[in-house]
Amino acid sequence: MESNSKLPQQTMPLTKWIAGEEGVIEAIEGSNRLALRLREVGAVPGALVRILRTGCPVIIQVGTSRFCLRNVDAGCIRGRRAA
Amino acid sequence: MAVGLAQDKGVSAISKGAVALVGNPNTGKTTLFNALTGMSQRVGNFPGVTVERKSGYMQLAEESNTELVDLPGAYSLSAQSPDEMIAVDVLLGLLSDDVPIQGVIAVLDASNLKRNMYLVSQILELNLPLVVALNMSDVAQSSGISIDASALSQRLGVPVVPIQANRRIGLDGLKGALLDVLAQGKFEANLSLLPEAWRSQLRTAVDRLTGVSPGILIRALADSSGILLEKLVAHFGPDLGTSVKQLQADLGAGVSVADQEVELRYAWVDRVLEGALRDPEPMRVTQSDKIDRVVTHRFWGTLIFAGIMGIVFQSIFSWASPLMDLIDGRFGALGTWVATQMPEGALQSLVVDGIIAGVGGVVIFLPQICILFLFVSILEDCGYMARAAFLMDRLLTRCGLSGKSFIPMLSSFACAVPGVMATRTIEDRKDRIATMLVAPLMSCSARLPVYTIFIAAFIPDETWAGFGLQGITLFAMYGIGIVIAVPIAWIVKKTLLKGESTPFILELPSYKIPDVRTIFMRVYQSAGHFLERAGTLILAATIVMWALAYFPRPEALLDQQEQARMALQSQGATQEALDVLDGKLAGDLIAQSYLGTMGKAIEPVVRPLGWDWRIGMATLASFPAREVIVAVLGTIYSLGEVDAESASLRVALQQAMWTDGSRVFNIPVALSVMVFFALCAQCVSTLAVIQRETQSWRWPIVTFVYMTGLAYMCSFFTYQVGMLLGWG
Repeated sequence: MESNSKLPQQTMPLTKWIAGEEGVIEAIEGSNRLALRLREVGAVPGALVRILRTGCPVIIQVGTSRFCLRNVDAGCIRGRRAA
Repeated sequence: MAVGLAQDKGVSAISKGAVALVGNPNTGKTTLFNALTGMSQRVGNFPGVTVERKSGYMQLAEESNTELVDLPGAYSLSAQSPDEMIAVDVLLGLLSDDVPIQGVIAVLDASNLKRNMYLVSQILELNLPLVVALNMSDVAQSSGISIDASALSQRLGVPVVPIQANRRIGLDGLKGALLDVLAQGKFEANLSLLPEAWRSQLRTAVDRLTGVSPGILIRALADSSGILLEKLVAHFGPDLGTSVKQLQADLGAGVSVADQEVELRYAWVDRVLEGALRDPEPMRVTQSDKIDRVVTHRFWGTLIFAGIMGIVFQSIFSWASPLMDLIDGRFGALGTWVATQMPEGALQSLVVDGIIAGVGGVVIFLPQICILFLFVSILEDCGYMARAAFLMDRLLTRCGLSGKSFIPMLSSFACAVPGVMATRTIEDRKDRIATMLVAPLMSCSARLPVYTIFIAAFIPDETWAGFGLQGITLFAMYGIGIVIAVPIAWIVKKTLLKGESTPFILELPSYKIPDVRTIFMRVYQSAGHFLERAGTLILAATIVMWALAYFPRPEALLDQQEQARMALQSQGATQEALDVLDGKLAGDLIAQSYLGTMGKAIEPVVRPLGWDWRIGMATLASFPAREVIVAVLGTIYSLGEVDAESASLRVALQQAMWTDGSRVFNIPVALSVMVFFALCAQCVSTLAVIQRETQSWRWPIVTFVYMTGLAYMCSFFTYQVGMLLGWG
């Protein structure tokens, strides 16, 4: 979808973020079951996201929900960090 | 069965059919279910599919009870886990023999409205009367979220009722609203979120197909796995399949309907919530976030986890013992009293030595089961369990499982049956089966009786570097199952269930004060389940074992005894001498009984484990349910009892002799029995539930064979090594 953004240095997979950073989801890559479920629970483009804990599994906040997922799966969420 | 009450009391059309309770996980759905149904609830099966069905009755109007079915938590009707699949099957009416669903209560977490509305958007497309319950509205309000329920209700076209299920606030309003929508009956599916072109195409297709609603067609179109479509085609006929294929091609334009569904729905949710939901600071740091900074911390979190587990297991043993002694005393007194009320003979022996000694020996463990379930349900209800799963994920990933395997495995320490059922939240089939295969290795509460008795009888009550030897032994018995589960899971995932590691997504709900009613119901139901087993399976096994140990009572032996007794009496022998004679007779009778004959036949098989024929027989008898061994040993030894004073099974075991006069039990033998029980698949209920959940005989057979094989080997090893070390 929008993976080649105008500011590629700002749009990156959540696994590259550090704890406490927040921003906006730009794209969920892949169309497997996990990507579908992530989108169903609100990880859609435009949703606010924050990293609560890094490592594996990571804990992320999407909208008002908190989820833990493994790095390999969190990596398919790309977002733009707030400045 | 379940229809009964509703129809008996039925005054209007309202009481026909059941109401389904649906919602995302962690929305307080179970709390609402308990608040609405109270003590009228029961756990049964959905007809045909043998999936657990929790239902109860709620009084909607005077003289009118309506059945409420609690469906498993679901994020979406595009089911990914077996749990969600059940919810979909029920809502789409695919379980044709079940009570029809006449309406739905959707429970929403008011603090998480947007995500929860996704499921509502899917339910609105079904032709089912719907009421939306905005739960935990107080929590939402206190964190600054304001929701305009009447605006929301207007836009959705269904009642929206703010409630606080834990405080039972708003329930009357909810019931009133439900009564209204049920009375209106027929509900027009709301397809407003679909593009106009889709709607007209859907309508045309629906007109061609009989019995298929637009909602069903949408579910079929959005089903990317193909599993639901297959079921729907089987239910509604092949025409549905053809229509779906045609529509996929027409509507998709290269992108599958499943892929477009999410964006369509969230766009709709945004429109509906605009102005009705005000959340000034959605990304605020909550109280739960602050707690999680410590609780999910790699070091402090792990420490807290270890501490909680320590407290759980410690209290199971220390809190339960006074209660257990109380129950033990009552059964003992009951047996003595019954013995004085009944004439001596076979019937008295059946009641006192068979039923009371047997069943009583099992019922003793009720307090421990209640305490374990108390902890499991508190930890689950307050939200900690998800954190534990998070912490355990790294460890469990190494042996091929995931954090989601943790809850089933912890439940298995109480009982593997709910443990195996708890695997339904695991989306991946391979992970799910691997978890089921190792869950029975966790030491369930039925093993406790075995450990407790053998430890009390044979492990010296000494301390060793500050730790009680008995406690260490018990800890080791719990440890052996866990330690062995690791390589077993690893091997199973490398061989029978090969495949790459699977996605793992787990919600961490907000912490909350656990709901007393929810916890009480959970403990109450598990206690009931345990007593039911004691009253049926274990009672039956006890009676059979008693009969096998009591009969045939050869006449010659009894006559011989009578003569010997008279001879002794005429010589003026002491009471002591007479008692010795009675004891010898009892022992001879049991050795010549059917049980004794069978036991002698299998003795060569169990001899390498250090066992005599009695342990062998008792073990064999406890394959249906392992706690039977306590009942059976109780029966065998109380039949062969010498002195009424030493009624305790512990003393009887300590005094058991081989025919050459040496003691049967020493430390290696006791350990070998315990290890066998720790690892063996002696539970018909568990094997049956694995069969039911996997819909295959393969997995219960695999479980039985590997566990029993492992048990024999480890038990043999334990005995032989113990003897070599000179512990005998």
